[in-house]
Amino acid sequence: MRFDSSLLGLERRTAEFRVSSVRLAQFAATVNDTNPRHLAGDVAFPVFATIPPMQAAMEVLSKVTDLPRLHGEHDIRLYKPIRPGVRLFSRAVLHGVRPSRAGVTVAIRTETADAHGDLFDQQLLTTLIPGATLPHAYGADSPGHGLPEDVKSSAPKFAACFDMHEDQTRRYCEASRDYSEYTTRLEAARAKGFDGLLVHGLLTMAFACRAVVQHACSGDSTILRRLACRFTAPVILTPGQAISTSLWQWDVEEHRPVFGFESTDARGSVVIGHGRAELQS
Amino acid sequence: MIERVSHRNVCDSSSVATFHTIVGLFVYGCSQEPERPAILVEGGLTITRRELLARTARFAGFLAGRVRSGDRVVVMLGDRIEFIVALLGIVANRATLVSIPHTAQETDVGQILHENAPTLAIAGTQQAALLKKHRTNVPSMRDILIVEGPEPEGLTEFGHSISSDVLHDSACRRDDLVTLNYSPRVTGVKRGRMLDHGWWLRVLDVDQRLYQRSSQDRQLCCLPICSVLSVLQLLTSLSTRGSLIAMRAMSASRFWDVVRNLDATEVLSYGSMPATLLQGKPGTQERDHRMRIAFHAGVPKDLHCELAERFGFDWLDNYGNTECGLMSRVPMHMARELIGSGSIGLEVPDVEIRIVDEAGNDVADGIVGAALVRGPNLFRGYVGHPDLTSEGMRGGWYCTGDLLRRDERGLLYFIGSNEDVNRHSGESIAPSQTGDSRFTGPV
Repeated sequence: MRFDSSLLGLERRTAEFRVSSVRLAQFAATVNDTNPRHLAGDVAFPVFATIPPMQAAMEVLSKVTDLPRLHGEHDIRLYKPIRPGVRLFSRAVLHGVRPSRAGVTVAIRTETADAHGDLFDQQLLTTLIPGATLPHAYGADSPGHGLPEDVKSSAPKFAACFDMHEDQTRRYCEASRDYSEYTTRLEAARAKGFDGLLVHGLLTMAFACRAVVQHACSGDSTILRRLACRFTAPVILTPGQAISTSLWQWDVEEHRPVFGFESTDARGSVVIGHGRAELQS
Repeated sequence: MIERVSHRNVCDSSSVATFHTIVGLFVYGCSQEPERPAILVEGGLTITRRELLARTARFAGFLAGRVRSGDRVVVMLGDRIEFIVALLGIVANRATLVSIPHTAQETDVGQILHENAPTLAIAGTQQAALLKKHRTNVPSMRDILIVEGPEPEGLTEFGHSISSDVLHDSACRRDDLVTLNYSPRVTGVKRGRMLDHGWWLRVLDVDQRLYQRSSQDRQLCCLPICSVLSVLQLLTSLSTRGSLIAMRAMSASRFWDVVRNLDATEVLSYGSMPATLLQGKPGTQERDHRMRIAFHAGVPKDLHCELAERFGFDWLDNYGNTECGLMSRVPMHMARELIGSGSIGLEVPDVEIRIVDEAGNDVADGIVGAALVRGPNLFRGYVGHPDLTSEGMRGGWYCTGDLLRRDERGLLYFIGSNEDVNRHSGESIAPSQTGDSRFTGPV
């Protein structure tokens, strides 16, 4: 693929995003969350943070390529929990474009803050353009969040399995406002080469996050400081689909508990790898 | 010397100037994200962009053999989504929609039919009965399509199995007449205003350049879907990746439930809505929502501060009418500063406003005078009344019949009107319709 290096640093900003308890509660219900604080809309389910900056990120991405792409990785650093009444402003910046074994990755960095400049979160969204090639890497590398093999070979500290419902993707479209056709229309999914409706990557990440909040955070999502993962395989919304997540107590860095996680679908395929959750110290 | 103010952050990348017709904009908007809701109706009905496009394409195909370029089609419907399907289907065939308020009286209906000689009518059951009474006097009207049954199926039987490219490959042009609008008037001769694609697109273009929206935004519409303003809201949401929320008749008791549950971020307020909302019982729900702006023509000065503080979002004043579309708006960056000032803001991009005395000379700042407006794509005149059209124009400027004043910063103030109507951003609405007399008095 061709890349215009002058695009590095390209920035887009979003209009103001106000937060209501209803919107927070709707999001939690959409990912089948059972956490009472999320369902009451008192505080946002962590993956909700991906919604405010998404349009800006997609606008940046659309300037880089119009080739078919997949959500490759997502890395969220959380500084303040999102609560009803906050007014958020996001910006997205082209971070790097790099060749990889599977194609070319495009990394976009986002920041979300309120009108006073108080930072709520930073994210690194990486998309993969399968099969594309690029002679050079442009821009900065992305920080890793891989799970070491020796950790993964040990028994997980926690495990949780959550079922996906028949209308899961349709409900997530409404909660996220990502109405990608292949998530709700079989014809569109088949046209993309999938044999069923494709589950949004962030919806799968939300299911893994439920396990993280429930077990690693003991139900208190406000102590989660980082949630990062790689989408290793597409999840298809088949009858009986479920996401099983295993968590390993990995390390303590700078007094912060760190967990690794990995998720599989109902067929046992690893759909989320390199999962990393960091908690506040 | 005091500096003149101007609109800041005018976002030209949000312009819709690349579209030549509203049909093109509609097809583009619906095709971009077909599964996104186009319209969410209070009560549960949701129409996706795909569905709206498909219904409209079928109906446009149905009309293809029934109306010709330049024909007029009377539409007399209540608050039903089929109005949108009818409008775009008619316009795609280069015919013109003649909108008759569904509550119009028999004599008014007779006058409008006589003036327009329509070839076809589309009406609700009750309205069709009224139209039939006039059929012998309107030989051009070959058929009346009756819209009945559950919404949005009212037009389904017309074009049920038709596959047509009339909508997607429409030959309509920018100077084709889109609508002839007869707004309810309290007194005098009813005047049908001729609006072409250029008029519609200019209003959409100016609004979108002045106010940035995103895919997370939803516009709340409390007027019937058949009003000019509602159609403008829908076309805006289609071209900005948003959705339209259709509330069925304004009600203070349901307002915040609709806002919260359907996630409205913007409302087009009209008439007595501000006062009605303030009369509601205070509660936490009126602060716990995502609404960030209300557009309103003639925000009551004495209520403005209370509105903003109590509900937690800006109420931005506009000035406009059906003839000229949107003429002025409070600059976004001055929304807070001008609370309670009564200012209707500044001319929007591409529009000029002069304030003149009786002799037609420009008056100094601070002096009240008659407002004249000039700009691209104003209305094309009053149907059947070239005398009224030319009377309204003065050397290329349209005489609004309104009295304005400009302050030393260039900000405009509405003083009064010779017309017994409220002035909204693109449509005239009689006080009897809105239940408000506030804006007819001095601001």
